[in-house]
Amino acid sequence: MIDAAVHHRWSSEAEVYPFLEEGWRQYVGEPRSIAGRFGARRLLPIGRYPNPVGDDLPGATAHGSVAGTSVDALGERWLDDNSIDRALLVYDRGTFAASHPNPFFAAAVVRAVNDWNAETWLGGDERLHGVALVPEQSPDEAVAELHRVAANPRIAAVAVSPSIGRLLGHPLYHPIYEAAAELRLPVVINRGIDAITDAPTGTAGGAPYTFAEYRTLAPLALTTNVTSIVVNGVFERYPDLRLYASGAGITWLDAMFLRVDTLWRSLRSDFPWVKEAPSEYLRRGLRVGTYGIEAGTPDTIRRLADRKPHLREMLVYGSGWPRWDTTGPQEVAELLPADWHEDVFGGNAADWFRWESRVPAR
Amino acid sequence: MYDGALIDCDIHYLPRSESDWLPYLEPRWREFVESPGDGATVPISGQFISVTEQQEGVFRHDSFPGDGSPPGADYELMREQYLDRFDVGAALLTKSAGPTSTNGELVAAICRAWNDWLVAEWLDGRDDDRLFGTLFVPTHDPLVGAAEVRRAGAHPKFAAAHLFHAIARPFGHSIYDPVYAAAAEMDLPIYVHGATGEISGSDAPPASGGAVLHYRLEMFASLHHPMAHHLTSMIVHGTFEKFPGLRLVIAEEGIAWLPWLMTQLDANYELMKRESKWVRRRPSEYLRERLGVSTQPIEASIDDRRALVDYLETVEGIEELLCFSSDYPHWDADEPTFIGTILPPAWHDKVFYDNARRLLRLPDRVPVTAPVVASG
Repeated sequence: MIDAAVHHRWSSEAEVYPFLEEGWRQYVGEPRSIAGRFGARRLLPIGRYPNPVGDDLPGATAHGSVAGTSVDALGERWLDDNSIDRALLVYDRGTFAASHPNPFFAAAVVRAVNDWNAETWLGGDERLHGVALVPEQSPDEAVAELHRVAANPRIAAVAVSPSIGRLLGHPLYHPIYEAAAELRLPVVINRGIDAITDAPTGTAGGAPYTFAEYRTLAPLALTTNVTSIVVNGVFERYPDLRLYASGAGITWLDAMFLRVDTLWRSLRSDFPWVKEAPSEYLRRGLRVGTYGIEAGTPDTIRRLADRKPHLREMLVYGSGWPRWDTTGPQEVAELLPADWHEDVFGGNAADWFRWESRVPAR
Repeated sequence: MYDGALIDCDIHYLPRSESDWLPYLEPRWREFVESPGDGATVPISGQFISVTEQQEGVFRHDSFPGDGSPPGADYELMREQYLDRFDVGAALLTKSAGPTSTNGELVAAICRAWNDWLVAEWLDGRDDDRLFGTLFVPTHDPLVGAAEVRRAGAHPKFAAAHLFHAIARPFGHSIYDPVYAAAAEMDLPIYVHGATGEISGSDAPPASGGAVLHYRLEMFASLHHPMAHHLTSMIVHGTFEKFPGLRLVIAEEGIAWLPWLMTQLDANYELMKRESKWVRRRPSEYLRERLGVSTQPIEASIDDRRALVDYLETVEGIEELLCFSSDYPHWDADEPTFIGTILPPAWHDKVFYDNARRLLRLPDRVPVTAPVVASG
């Protein structure tokens, strides 16, 4: 059993401070050193929407800590109970560390967070695996950071947060893909690109006013970025590249296949380097996490599974624990056909990520 | 194959040249457009985002009349190539977008002139009972827009009110309520075509996740992005609750995005109820009752008819939303015979006639007199 969407975070940003380089440590400042309140800058860009039902599952906390901040709580409250053998820690808002508007600060925070992750989480429970963050606003640094972090065999993927307004197919990102393909690290794209304040990546038509609208529309930003990767020929340049999109449910994928394939037939002369239908590349090169699965509409999910059998190879179980919309293995199992379970809960993820056994020899 | 009455929700007309409709412009604005001082005229259209540029424009090559006028300007050619050829019973004459100037006063004046010209030239001017119009609604000032809906909408051959410009606020924002009140009062559905100005002069991003698109495929693939947001916004902020008679028809954005959007809307129902006092029914119910979505450009090829329908059928009752449209004379137009081969025969009556009949403001005498024949 593999869970490819476990969220982890720090209990306070001060946990990351010791990993910052000295100059940046001074830049951040001291929390509550001024008037008992002010004194420190935030490490992460601010998210746009407070969640009206709370961020976390009731009961996900343990030992009085904030949910998702403790290796022990994760083991006791989630992995043990659900017989999860391997978990991919994909961060929470930390996945957007690279999205701070100041690219130099973003790069410094990314380095610190990667080191915090290795020391605090990946050194512990052997079930835990991590994703590398990269400062994608600075491609050369991103490649260097990826090589540095990927030396840790517990790193199983690399996460990107394309927050600078250029979609993921842009040549800006290609060096990262080259390194990811060489290192056999799948590229993780999480939902939420469109909810970062002060990033030019927002929702079509303007910023939504509520969390419910943002969450409903989250598949759009994933679709735009995945489409961009295909039409810009990334899979032709890096045939070994693997993608993992997570957090926006599973029903959007086939809408994208239908639309983009249809358009590709008539418009492919614009990008002759795309030699196959986009869905062909994506069936080989993309896996979709079940985190955010539309559990409230089980009939639709069952009909989808019945009519779109290719999802059996493409879906990867991810719980989202300890977020409020966590879907446990049992709940997902009831939504999907029994003969898919082996693939979705284990086989597909086992084949996809860079587990220790797949780390290339140095 | 379907041989019943046919309503087409999207046929594009154009003037032969700007001088056709300029005489209808109020003198103050006509002088503004025609006499800026350097001998040229003031452009009345803003710029579309770069990737919309196509070498061939957006037209079928065989649709150019040959006299220098643009496709859609020659009524006889439109009859020959489309209306008569497919025995269209009612045709909704549309234009992709209204005036895209950034000057809201000018836009409102052009809308009034254009609506009057459309009546004179096409709706009254042709002896053809099949032709119905969409009136342009200026939205920079929604009160001005509401007034135009009431003024122009008094003409019985307008079947819908076309909102072509979202003022960087999603359509559920109450700032648009005067327009919706007027449309409901006039029994006119709101009509939205393509992106609602996001690719032509709006301040809002045309696509989610990164507004700078590199290729026209990406532009066409994301044409529905703003509309997905507008629909979500209208549900969450109560537009359908505030205006119980309000209906909505959207065109040229494809249909394959409906299943995931309807699914996500329903999956987020509990959250919506918590954040908004307006969400009182499962969100997809509002859409089944009030929304029509034109079938073009349909996401299917002749080689694979099932892939689309299999996906559409994952959401129950989706055929209640689908309204046939050709998009003649655009490059990616769909002919009714093609749509008939893609969509299940059991849906044909609804798609080709019933849904549009229910949503558009068509008169009882709507000349779709051919018997509706069971399809097969």
